[in-house]
Amino acid sequence: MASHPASLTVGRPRRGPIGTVRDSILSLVRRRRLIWYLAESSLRKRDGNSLLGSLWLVLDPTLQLAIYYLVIGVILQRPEPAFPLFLFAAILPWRWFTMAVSSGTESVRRRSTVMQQIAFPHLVLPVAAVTASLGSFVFGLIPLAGIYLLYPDRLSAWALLTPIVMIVQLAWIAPIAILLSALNVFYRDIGNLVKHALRLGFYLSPALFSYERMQRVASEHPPAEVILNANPMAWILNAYRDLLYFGRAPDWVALALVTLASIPFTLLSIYLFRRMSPSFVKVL
Amino acid sequence: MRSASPILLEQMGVRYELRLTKKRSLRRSLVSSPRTDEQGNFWALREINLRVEPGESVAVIGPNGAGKSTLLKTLAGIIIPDEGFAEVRGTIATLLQLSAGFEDELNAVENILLVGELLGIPAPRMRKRIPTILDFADIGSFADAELRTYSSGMRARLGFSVATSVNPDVLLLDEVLSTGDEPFKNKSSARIKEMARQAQAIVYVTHDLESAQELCTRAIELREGRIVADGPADSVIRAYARRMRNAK
Repeated sequence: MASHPASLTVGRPRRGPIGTVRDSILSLVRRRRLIWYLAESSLRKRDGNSLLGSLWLVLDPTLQLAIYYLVIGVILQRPEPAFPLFLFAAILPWRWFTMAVSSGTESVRRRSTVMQQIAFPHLVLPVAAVTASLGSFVFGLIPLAGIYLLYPDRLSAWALLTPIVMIVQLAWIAPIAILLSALNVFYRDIGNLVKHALRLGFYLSPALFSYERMQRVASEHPPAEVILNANPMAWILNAYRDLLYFGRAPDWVALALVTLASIPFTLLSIYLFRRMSPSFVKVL
Repeated sequence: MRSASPILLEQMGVRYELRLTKKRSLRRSLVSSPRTDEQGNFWALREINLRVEPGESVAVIGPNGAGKSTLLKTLAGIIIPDEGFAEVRGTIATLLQLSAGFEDELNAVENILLVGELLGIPAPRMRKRIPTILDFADIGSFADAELRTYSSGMRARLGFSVATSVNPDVLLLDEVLSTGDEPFKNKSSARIKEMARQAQAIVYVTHDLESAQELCTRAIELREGRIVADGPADSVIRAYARRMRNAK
C-alpha cells in the first residue's frame, strides 16, 4: 500500500475564467488520442454495414455534386465556366461546415450513456465530431482531384494554400460546434433549429452562385447585403473558390479578420461549455 | 492542510434542478417534500460527511432512491457536488456498468484503447495490458472482429476485463459481482477480491447484504439522501436487515 498521499483525482477546486479555459485546452491535448478514436469510429459508423464501405466517403460528396450540377447547371442553365469545379470548390467546404455543426450539436447528447458511467472531459465530444467532419472533408478532396482531370488548366499553385483556408474554417466551426453541443443538452429544439439554419445559411452563402452574382442581387436590398457580408462562411467560401477555381490570391484581409474574430469566440465557447458541463450528467 | 484520506466528503450535497429535467412529474410523485427545497430543487444527497481511511471498505446500503448511485457517481467524479466538497485521492476504478464507452464499429483492441483513453489511463500502459485483457475476457478469435459481431456475454466479459485491468487506489463497485457464466463469475469475483486487497479504499453499493458483510469492514445506510447509520459493517447491516424484515 502506498504510504505517500496520492494526488487528488476528484474534487479539484474551481478556477476563474482563464484557468478554466486553459485547463480545458490542456485536457484536449492530453486526450488527443481519445478525440482521434472517437472521430475514427464515427467516420466508420456511417458506412459500417454498407456494401461499398469506406468508398462512401468519396461517393457521397461526388453524388451531392452531381445533383447540384444537374439542378443548377443543366436544368436552370446557370453555368459559369468549368461549372463542376466552380460548384465543388464551395460545396465541399460547405458540406464540411454542415457536417461539423450538425454532428457537433448532437455530439454530447449522443454519448449520454458513457457520460453517466465514466468521468472524462466532455469537451472532447464536440471536438471529436469536428475532427471526424474534417476527415470526411479530406476524403472529399479525392473527387476534387478527379475534377481537375477535366479542367487541368484550372489547377494552379494557389491550390497548395488550401490548408490555410481550412484552418480559418476550422477556427469557426469548432466554437459553433462546442457551443451548440452544450446548448442542445438543455434545449432539444436546438438540433431542429440548426438543421433549418444550415439550409438557410447555404442559400445565403456563395455556394451555388458566385459572390459577385449574389452581391449584385443583394445590393438592391441593403439588409441582405449586410447579411451576406457579415457571414464568415461567405468569406471562407470565396477564399476556397479563389484558390481552387480562379487560381488567384484570396482576400487576405478578409481571411485575417475572420480568423481574428474567431479567437474570442472560441475562448468564450470553451468557457461556457465548461461552465455548463457539470449539469450534463444530471439533465441527460 | 487537509488530511490525505483516500475519500473525504464534507457537508456534500447533490441537487437536481427539476426545471431542467423532463422527469419533473415523476420525481415529484416519487419524492416526499423534505428533499425538495423552496426553489424546487430535488436534493439527491445532502449533508453527507464521510471520511474513508486507508484500508477501509465501506458498504453503502439503503432502499431504492436513497441516493446510493448518486453517491458513487460523485466519488467517481461523474457528478460534481453542488454543496460542500468531495475529494478522492489516487487512481479510481469504477465498476458501475460494464462495457461503458464501447463502440460497435471498433474491434476489441481498439475498444480497449478507446476506453483506456476515456478512463484517462496513459496509452502505453494500456497497450501493455492488451494481451492480459484479451486473455481474461476469453474472446478468442473475435479479438480482431468489430464489436457489433459480439454476443452480449462476450461484450460483458470484455467490459469487465477492461474495467478491472488497473489496480486502483480507490475501488467503486455497484453490484457487478455476477457477470457471465459460472466459470467467468468465479474468475471475476476472484479478480475483484484481488483488486479489493490492493486498493486503499473501497466503496460498495449493493442490495446484497450478505456480500456486503463479506467484503466490507464498515457500512453506511442512506435514507432519503442522508446518512442515517454509519459504523462497523456487521452491526449496521444487521440493524438494517432487521428493520427491513419488520417493515414487511
